Amino acid sequence: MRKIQTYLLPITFFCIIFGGFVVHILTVDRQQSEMENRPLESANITPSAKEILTGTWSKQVESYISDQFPARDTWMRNYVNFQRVVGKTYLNDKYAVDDKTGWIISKPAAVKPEEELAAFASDLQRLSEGLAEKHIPFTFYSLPAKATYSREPSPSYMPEDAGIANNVKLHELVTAAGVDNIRLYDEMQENFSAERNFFKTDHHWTIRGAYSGYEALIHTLNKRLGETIATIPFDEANTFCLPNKFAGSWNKILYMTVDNNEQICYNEPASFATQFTIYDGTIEGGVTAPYEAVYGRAKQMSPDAIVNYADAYSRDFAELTIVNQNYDSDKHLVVIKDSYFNTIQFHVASHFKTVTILDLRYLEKDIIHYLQNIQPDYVILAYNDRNLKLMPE
Amino acid sequence: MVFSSLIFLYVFLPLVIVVYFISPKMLRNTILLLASLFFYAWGEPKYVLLMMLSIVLNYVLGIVIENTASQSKRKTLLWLVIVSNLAILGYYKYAGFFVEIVNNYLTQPIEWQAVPLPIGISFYTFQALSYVIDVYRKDVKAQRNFLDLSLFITLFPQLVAGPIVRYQTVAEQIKKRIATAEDWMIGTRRFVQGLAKKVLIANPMGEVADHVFSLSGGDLTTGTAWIGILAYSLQIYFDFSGYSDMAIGLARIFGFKFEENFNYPYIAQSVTDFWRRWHISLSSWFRDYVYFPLGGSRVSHEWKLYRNLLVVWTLTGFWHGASWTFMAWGFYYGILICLEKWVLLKWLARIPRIVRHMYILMIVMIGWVFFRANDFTYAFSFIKTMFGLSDAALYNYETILLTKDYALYFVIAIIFAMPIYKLYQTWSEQKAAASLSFDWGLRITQSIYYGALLLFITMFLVNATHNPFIYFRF
Repeated sequence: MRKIQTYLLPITFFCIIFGGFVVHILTVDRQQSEMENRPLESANITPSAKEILTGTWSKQVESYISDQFPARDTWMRNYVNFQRVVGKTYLNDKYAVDDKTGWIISKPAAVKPEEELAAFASDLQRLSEGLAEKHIPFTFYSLPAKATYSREPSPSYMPEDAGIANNVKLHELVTAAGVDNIRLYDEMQENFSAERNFFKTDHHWTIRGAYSGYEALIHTLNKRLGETIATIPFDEANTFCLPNKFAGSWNKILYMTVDNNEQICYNEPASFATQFTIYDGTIEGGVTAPYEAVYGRAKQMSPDAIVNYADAYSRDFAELTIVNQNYDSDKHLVVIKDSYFNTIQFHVASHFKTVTILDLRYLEKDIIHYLQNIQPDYVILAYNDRNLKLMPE
Repeated sequence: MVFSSLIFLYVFLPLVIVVYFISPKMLRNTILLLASLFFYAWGEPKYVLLMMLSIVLNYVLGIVIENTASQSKRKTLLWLVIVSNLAILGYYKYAGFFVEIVNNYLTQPIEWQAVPLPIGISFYTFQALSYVIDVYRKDVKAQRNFLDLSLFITLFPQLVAGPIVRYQTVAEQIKKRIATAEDWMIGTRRFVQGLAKKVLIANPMGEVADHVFSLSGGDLTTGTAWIGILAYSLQIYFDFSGYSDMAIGLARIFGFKFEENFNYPYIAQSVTDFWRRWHISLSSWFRDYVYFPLGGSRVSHEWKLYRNLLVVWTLTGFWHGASWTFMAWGFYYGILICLEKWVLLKWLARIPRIVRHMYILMIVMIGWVFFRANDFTYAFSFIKTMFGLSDAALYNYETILLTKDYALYFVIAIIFAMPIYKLYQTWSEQKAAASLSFDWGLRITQSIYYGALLLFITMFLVNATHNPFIYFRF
């Protein structure tokens, strides 16, 4: 006998799956995932026969359905919240959160195989020797990373993070390879404070940590360049913070589920806005960019906008050439860098006549030949100490 | 296409349901066939042709066998169809394995380019074989309608990972079936249950098992090894029985009634009992098409019974994959079943029930080590670590982390590996049959519960990083 109540479950089920389908059709596709920091799959409605027959198209469609699933970020955020409710130690298998303080701590890194570190050391040696052919001095800098020096609170039973051990071993190998190198942490140890130097919810250093790094960097460069450059003193009174909410990179991976009151702060002299001519690329390319468009773009954003590290300081340019009218040294410095350097690029540039900043992730040039051609006075490679490859991740 | 994927759940399934149920009845089998071919072609379009070849072969030879009067010719034709089916299966699944063995004895090795295994080939080949053998045995009439035979072999709910449906089971249903509201309700409920088993239990258990089985010898402790094998035991059960539930549930929505494939195997009290509860459709296939033809237990000498058992179980292991570890796994069960038949069952009957449970769980978990490991060296090393026979520590941070993070999943998995929910379901359905108000309450509660469960599963699927079904590779 058919009973009306028997239909309730199948109707509920059908409404959910068919409703999901309809909402999916009606929802406008997104181009980019802010949280995942990656482009989302778009619909390929004209696949080729080859794409269909090889199964490539079906994979694209599956990615498209997954990427453009209605309210994807909400589902993802709820999943992170669910993990927190059930007491998962490392959310999304990556980060532990201390809810009392709002600190996000990464899962401890394992000891890197020596071959991996040796490969990086070998790349640095090749770079150093290539530059030496043209008498261009080179120094490798490792900058202290949050993941390496901000380890508390970690569960007591977890092993020590191997970041420091990996970093020390790398420097031993680099020294053995005859490459000049600096562990910037060694120069910053005095009053080093993870709480002060790093963001709670992002993997970068704060303006205060970056400033300490800048001071140590200039101090060590002075010795190598035979200069006596005085760093710009950190002036607390000169610190300017944005009212915007901060989207820390690790918090974004956790779908902004960690409450925090972090702010983006700046400490720069007013002269920075006028003393540089900035080229997006080479001077010969002639494409200039105003200071405000390169550094501190978030200052122009609405106070309601959520700001990430790249908006706050600088995005990664493949090549940036900064010509300084008010320099201490007439030398041409080249910095091969990762995103850690973005915070202090103009602080460093303010001392030299020309600074070229290169990011190998985006630069499509043979780095050794290019540097041999432009003949700078000095080249440094400054990566945070979790980056253990010439091509940073 | 995978059942536990957003594209299946929110695109393929709703569209198939709509098109199927708004179509006239005469077109429904064609729609299901087209949907099944599309479902299969989704990931590997070219292998649809291989499947079609298999269908044509079995269709033609099924009719030819039926039309042949001479018993010797019928037998020859049967062997032809068996060899042809096994040749296709063998080429894709076993050729590389045998070439490797032969190459060990050759100075000039045979060159072999590995071919990808067409998904579900072991399942649909066995299903097709059962049809032709049944025709030969005159248990069923050969299917003259090509579309209907194609639908039997390709029906998407069971196409890629079973259960291995017998033609006898669905022959009538292919011709004529009615999907009632009760079928939809039972089918929906079963499908969501299976989906939950897969997504909420098997996948997290898979994360644990994959992690533990990827640890190198130095990092594996006794505690972690036990967590790993317990996780794998639960993963494989919930993964495969979840798939079977989804297959049975989906088929029921379209009016098909499949046989059960699992019956709470981890509550078994002997190996013999375990195999009556685990992958029932495969065990019964081997029983009916290999064990009985070999003579089964009706043999002139007792050793022949043990021989038959060992042959059947080694083949069962080999069906799972072309490797020595799978064969060893099957042989291991063959030996244990022989021992049980010989003496163990009598002993087991005398010991307390809890000890019998411990015995079977231990046997099964050790078996799963061989099933999961890539080679014997790893399997034996893992077992040594489990029993403290290696230099491994008792536990380390991995043990604590996995225990802490997955304790809830383990508890839920163990509860649902026992027939507690089934008892509740039986009780509630009986009560609903006796009381209209209870029936209304139950249906409303079920709708809310399963609807919420589906949404909860969706949350996991949107985040899914670990989703393949273990039995897809067989």
